[in-house]
Amino acid sequence: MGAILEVRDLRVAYRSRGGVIFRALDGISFSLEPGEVMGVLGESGSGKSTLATSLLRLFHANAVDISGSVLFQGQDLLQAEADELQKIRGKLISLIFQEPSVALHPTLRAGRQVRQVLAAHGMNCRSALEKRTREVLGRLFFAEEAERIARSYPHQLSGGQRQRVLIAQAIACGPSVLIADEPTASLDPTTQMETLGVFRTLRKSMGLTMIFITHNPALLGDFADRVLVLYAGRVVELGAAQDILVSPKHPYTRALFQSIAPLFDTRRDSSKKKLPTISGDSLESSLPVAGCPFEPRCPERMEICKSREPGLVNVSETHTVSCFRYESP
Amino acid sequence: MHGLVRVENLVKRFSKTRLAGPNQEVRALAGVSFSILRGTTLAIVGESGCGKSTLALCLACLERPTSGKIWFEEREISGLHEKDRRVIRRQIQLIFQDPANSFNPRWTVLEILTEPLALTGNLRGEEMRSRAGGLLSQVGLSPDMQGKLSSELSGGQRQRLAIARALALEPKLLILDEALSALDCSVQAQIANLLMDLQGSLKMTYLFISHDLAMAAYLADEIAVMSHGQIVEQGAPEKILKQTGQRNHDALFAAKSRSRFLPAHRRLAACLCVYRSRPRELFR
Repeated sequence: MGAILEVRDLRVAYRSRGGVIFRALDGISFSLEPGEVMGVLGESGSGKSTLATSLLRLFHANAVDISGSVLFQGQDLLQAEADELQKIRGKLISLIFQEPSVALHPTLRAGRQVRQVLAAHGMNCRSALEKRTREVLGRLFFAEEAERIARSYPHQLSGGQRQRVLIAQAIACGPSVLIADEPTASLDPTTQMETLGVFRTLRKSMGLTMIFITHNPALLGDFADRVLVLYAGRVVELGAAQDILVSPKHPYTRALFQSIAPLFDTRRDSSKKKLPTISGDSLESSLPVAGCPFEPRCPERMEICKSREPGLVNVSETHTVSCFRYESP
Repeated sequence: MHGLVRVENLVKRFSKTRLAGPNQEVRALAGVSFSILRGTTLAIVGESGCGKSTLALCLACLERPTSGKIWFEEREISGLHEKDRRVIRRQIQLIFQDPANSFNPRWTVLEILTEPLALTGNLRGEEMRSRAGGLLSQVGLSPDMQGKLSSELSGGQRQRLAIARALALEPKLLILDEALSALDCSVQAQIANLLMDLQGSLKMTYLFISHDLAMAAYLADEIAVMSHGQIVEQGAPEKILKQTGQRNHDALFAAKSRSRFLPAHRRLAACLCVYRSRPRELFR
């Protein structure tokens, strides 16, 4: 089957006010099959939000050096005409932002905000708009609740409900690809689980292809098909979710998973022991270096890592990692 | 060993003003009792809206409870006059979730740290600078960071700075209200280790408020699970973890899929577990 979305060597850099160039995405390539869910795992500063917006060519004013291509059903979105692109954004590919409280308009009722999305994509019959809005909200809320939600202003809704309204906006036009940038980050755990459940149901009922961006690996456990690990704007590891989550290969991924407090620690004793950490700070790795971006913090660094940048190596058919440790001599 | 803090039957009600109709009453705390021993950590876990943060504000003397009593070092503090509460406040410091919002963005690191020192009133310029440098190295920051603005720091560095500022007045109790929640996993681990080091060297007492059960179990000597303004379960971390059934991993997943039919606090605990665990544990 052909890929629905293919990203080739995507590069985006930002120029700071001081004129310093900061490379947010540095040669990202991956492709998505229809119906697949890809989890993107990355910490702050890894470029994950830039990835989300770049796929729809929504760039910050200070973005420079944009290169590569984003092929959606064979069409390069980075080269497409503005009006072509406008037809794709929100209709065929939609984006869900991180902060539901900021993304919604504070003085418009939730129902109207969903209708606006539909209207922007050419639906102008009033009764059809009403009907579709009710249908979409009905998918995300219990029937008796949906009516009230549609009439509410964002401040009258809870964090989880607001997030659902955002999801309603995103799926209103029946997109084929959904990009979610940290959709659960500001929610508490029970609401996170519920929201994740919503995504799971939508995926089943609409056959959505999804890019799910998060910093919490536990959320990807039984949801993502594949996982892409980002570090300093580069793909450090890409593979089947189970491969990466159960037996990560890259030193960064391994260190990241180790640093999470274990819940099932059977060797727990009364003396408190320390959590393993990654030394250093991720800010330092945004400076352009010659070798591997993780080298300064890597516990397994070798001589070669300082001078050369590792390429992606296949460790199995479904698992690639960017590290010299796995390169065959 | 004496308890540093003892809370008895704490109740806090807020009245919600409505444009039409009578005012609504919200019961944020509905009779909470616990005590924390000196040099130990009590973790309070629960969903948003369960009253965790109200509890923190009452303990820090920033809100007055509707009824109930709070003892701090064997002294009842909830009914004290404002002037006396001000003295107590120095000894109980709060650290919030988002350090970026708790600093004045136009102040340098040095100014942020010397403000509480100036309040004590007995340090001069040079002494203050060296004390600020000492505080920075205590939390693992470089003393030559003093001239930077808080916006130039990373999230982890900012939270370290918040801890340094809280330590400036040499408090006896540190209340950490979701202090790790906004940080990346790897940074959380660094700050958690720092908190443990400080507890070891300064004999600090912590109230750790969080919705991350794994981290709570890791840091705390005792965990209290809160729901609707009440403590519904309390005990040693091992006991709480065992009770929520995740020793047996299948039971956990059964709990997750049936979570809608579980009692509220059991459901909460099950979700808390799945939400934060090492990925490998999810596949066991």
